[in-house]
Amino acid sequence: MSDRTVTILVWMLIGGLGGAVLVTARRLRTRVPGLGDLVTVVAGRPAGRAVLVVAWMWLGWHAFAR
Amino acid sequence: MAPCAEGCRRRRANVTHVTRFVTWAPLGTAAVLLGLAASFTHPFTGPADTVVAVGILAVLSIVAVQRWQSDPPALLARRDPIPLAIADGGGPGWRWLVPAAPLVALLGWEAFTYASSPRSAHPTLSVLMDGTDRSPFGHAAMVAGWLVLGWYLVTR
Repeated sequence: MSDRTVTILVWMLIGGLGGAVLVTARRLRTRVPGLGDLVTVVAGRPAGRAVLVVAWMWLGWHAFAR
Repeated sequence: MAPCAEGCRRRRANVTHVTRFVTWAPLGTAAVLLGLAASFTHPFTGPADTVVAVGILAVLSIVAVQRWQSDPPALLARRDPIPLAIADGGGPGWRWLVPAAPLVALLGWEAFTYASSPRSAHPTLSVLMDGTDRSPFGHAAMVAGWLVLGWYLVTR
């Protein structure tokens, strides 16, 4: 198996892990926090919100402008 | 969990089908239009910079509305804080590893692939996205998705 194939498989695994977390958190709503809950907790603090927004701005700049 | 900050209100209680449509129609149209405009641009050019700047200004203007308007439109308002049972003391702290795990894995693997070479054997996430980004519709969809992500983040 080539390095490229392994790298892409790991990317797919990470995507699957994210999907599994979304489904699990939705099913066990009051026991397991989901990605949205994590974002909400981080965004609940001014510094956390600033970090999230700056990271989002960088993502757009990196992906579409530079 | 801190109580609702300024510009925050209970969205669910105020959102009707009409307000949802009235808010989503212009938001969705703006995202699609900016995405389509972006599909005509290429990185490292003035138009590409302008499209990204317009997107950033649009999302920052939502923050401004939340901050200076006591009763912001429902879908521009920040969402309710998450239930206390999830935020504090509702279970062991390791539960937060569940949502953190895919994010840590993503950042870690991105760092590893970025530091590895050659790039063709260790593609980063952005290299994998380049295929989609090359088609005008793919580029438009990615820009629209980026705008929706910005909206999602500032309304939390």
